[in-house]
Amino acid sequence: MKRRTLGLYSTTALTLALTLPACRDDEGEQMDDGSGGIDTLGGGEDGGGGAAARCATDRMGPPMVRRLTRGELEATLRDVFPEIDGSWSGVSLGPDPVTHQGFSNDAEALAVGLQTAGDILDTAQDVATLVTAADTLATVLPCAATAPDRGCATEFVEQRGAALFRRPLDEEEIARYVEYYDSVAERSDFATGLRWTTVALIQSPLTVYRSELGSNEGGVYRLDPYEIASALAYDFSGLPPTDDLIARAVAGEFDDPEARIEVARELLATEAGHAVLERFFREWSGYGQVAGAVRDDPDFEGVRDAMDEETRRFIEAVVYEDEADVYGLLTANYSVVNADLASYYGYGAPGGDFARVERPAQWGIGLLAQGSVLAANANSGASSPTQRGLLVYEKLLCESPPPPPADVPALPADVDGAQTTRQRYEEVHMADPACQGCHQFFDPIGFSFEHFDQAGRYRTQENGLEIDASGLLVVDPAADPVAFDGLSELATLAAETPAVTDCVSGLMIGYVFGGAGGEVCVAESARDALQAGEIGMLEYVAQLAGAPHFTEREAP
Amino acid sequence: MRAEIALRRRTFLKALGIGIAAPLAYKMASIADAAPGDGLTRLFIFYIPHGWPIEHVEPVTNGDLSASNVLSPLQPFADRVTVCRGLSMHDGATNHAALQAVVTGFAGGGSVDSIDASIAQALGVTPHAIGAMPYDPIAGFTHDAQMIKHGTWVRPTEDPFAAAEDLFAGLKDAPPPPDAPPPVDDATFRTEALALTESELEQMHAAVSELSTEQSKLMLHLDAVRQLKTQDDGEPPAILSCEQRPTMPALEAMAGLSPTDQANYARIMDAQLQVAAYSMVCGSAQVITMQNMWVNSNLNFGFAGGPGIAKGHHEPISHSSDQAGRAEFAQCQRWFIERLSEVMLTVLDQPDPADTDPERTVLDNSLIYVCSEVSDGWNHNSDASPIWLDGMEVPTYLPAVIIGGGGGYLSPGRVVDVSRHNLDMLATLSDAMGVPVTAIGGQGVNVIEELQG
Repeated sequence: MKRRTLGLYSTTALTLALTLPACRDDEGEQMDDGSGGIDTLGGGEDGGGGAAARCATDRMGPPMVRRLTRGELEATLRDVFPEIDGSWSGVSLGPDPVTHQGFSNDAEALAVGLQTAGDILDTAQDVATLVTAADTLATVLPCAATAPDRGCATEFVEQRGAALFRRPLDEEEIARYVEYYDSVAERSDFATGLRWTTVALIQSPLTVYRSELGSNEGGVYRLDPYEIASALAYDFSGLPPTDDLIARAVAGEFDDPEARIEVARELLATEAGHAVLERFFREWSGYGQVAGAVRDDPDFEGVRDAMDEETRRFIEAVVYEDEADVYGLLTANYSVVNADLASYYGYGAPGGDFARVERPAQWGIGLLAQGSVLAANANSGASSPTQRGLLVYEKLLCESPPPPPADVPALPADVDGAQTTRQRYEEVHMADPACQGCHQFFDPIGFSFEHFDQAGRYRTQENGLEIDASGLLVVDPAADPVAFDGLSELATLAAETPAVTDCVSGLMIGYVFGGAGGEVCVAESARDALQAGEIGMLEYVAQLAGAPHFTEREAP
Repeated sequence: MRAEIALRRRTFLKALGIGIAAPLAYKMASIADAAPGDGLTRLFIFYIPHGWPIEHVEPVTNGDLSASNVLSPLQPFADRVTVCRGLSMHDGATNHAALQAVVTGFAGGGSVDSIDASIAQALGVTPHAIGAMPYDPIAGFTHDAQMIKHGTWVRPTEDPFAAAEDLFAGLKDAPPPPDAPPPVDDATFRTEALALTESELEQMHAAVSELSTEQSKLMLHLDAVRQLKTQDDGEPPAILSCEQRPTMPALEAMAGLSPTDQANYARIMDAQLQVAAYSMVCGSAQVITMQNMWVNSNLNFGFAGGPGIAKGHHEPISHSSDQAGRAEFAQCQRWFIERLSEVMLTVLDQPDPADTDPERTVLDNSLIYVCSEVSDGWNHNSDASPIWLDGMEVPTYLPAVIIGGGGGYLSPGRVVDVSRHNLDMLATLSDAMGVPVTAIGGQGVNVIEELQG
């Protein structure tokens, strides 16, 4: 899998951009203000910050607690209380907050304020009410039908409490909950006592948070077997640990990095594991935003959901079937389309359902040429070189532009059709020094997408004018930008740029480890292997389980 | 809450009574005796996204909004409408950061909570946050999609049924039938469950004493659980006048429909407005903020019951610089005002059951503040500066329309020209609610006296 790569380059050296004045945002487009997300949370001492940072040796992030995401909490409650699976409508929590990189599982962002605490309480009450309903309780807790007493409640606390906490309760904890049960039951009845005990168990911080605190042993925090089992299960499947996984952890099996990696491989191969990786790519690239996009193309609305599915299947094929690396993701010369998309795009002729088809040469390659990516990063009536350039700048190079200044009008619309989109952008952004200072770093990247319109379709002309898709990419800040022409050349150039793989691999670390407290240098040998084309992205993610960070943490 | 607020005596004592650390939170500037009718005023903040096309807002004159394309739906209530022209929000920075300055006064929210939280805390009531904001549940929210800050950024309650639960939570339970078993004291049990959780959080917090980031995280959670406990112990609002929820057909029309489905947008809007309106009449909710969409929200305005413009609201609609596009933008912004007028104001225009004066309506005793994050959607300015339209310079200003009399605080039915910062408007709203403010976020503020009666 080895291939030609461009000269050594570190995106962290591109801090040049960060010294620039605030960028204008003529498009009203979302621009990263650099105030959050894992790209601003520290980094390597020997290379600067950012998700693309590299280090000479592996490091460990800090100990932390990680609030379960919305999906993790729901999966946990369904796993612990399978008796209500069909009757429960799900957690009351809203969408999880996302970082500027788009990830919804960052441990710092997943705070519990008043609103979330209220949502968790509502969820706990909903579940507890169903669990202790007369027709369910006997199934949940058989002794409730024969001996509804303190002993029966204790059995419930020990069994379901352990499942919720992902570890056995100690004597003090059992006593705390049974005492609470007693207190409520004395003033009501058995079921009510058990209901409120269930509420307390569910909203307990021991349920709500995944502990990765470990115990301090001479400055190194060593995670216990239960913490390791939970980390394996949630990180690679989004589900709570099984009894078997916990037992293996307690037996010390996962002291061996290879054993952890093997479990990660197994979990990633499951349906739930696929969903974990699918979410990474969806959140990282933002391709799913196509589903809500409005484009002034009468055919677009009929295919935008299919575009979303096309990219999901494309990534599935690249990651799982091809076991490809970042190079493969960016340069795969096929897509996965159905009959509607084939008709819309004008290439491929599958029988109806989704199938792999080779892309015509002019239709670009890889992820960046996906219809969903192209349409999601556009305006309703025109393409957006700024949005598309920023996609590459932020998500492939891990750079953050400064925030745009105030009071910047939107670009004037193309009223008379006398210009191409590129010409409008060049006229406003590149000719004005106040704009050009920042836009020079991403608009020239975005110009190379110009053979694709706002609805994701190929075009040779715009307004009767020939498309100019030549672009520039800064791959070495000490040298002139590299010139190229068109999306395929951009994709190949990016794929061959080591900084891009460093960026993506760093972002994957942040995703798997919930931000890892800002430390991205936790698996440098695995990143080397990915960089060298020795392993694909699927195996790379699995190998993160072998990182020292998985079992130990350093004091911040 | 870091606003420095002078509390009226009654409010201050009430705040102390429910355990608010008022001396820590507020700087006492003066203590005034409560005036007759004081404390009846309801506050409803109504955010509309992306500003407005000023040439379709003007002309407006004292008591006459009929010539305004955008505001003419308010004409039936024109004698209780105040249009404030000349407001700026220089700290809004970009249009993105400006959203978070709308009700905090500072770009990105600064270090303060939104004004609704400050007012509600001082009054000892719950600041409710509701929204008509059908978002993509997978994409979630970035922080710059949120404008309401109650300690942390708040996602408005998007489900009208959940909103109704919250806004009518202060209503008394109906008495049980005579032969029913004694009711289970769920409120007490809930408080006790929260106390158990609180003790666990305290333990966990103590265990991470070496880890400042984790301590902060757990302290936030701990504070939240303590607040939930306090809410359970809280008194019903002083102006509560209903014993049961009124019939709300717009709410019932949402049955079985998703509040995050864009196709339902008109129904979501109506349901939320109706729930808010009736809760204001009942007095079960006194401080409500409603967020409609968010900055850059590109909701397709071709939804059923909407203005029939099947384009994205942010772009191209709000970005329009040509006449036809700006006329469509006006239609969309007018639609928000229409719904407000038809669904909420008509309900509020009835005698206030909490007021001893039978002539005074709920609308007389309300402040409905219509606001946005930018002045002009195309120009993206958050200040009172001119734009060029068709070769002419046209002044713009932040949308700021107050409907209602504020319990006699305002002298409505006027167009008031000022040159003031948005912070002063927030201070004025707070003052009108009986919570005088001398500074917000360390910045001195002054009431906009021109608005007062």
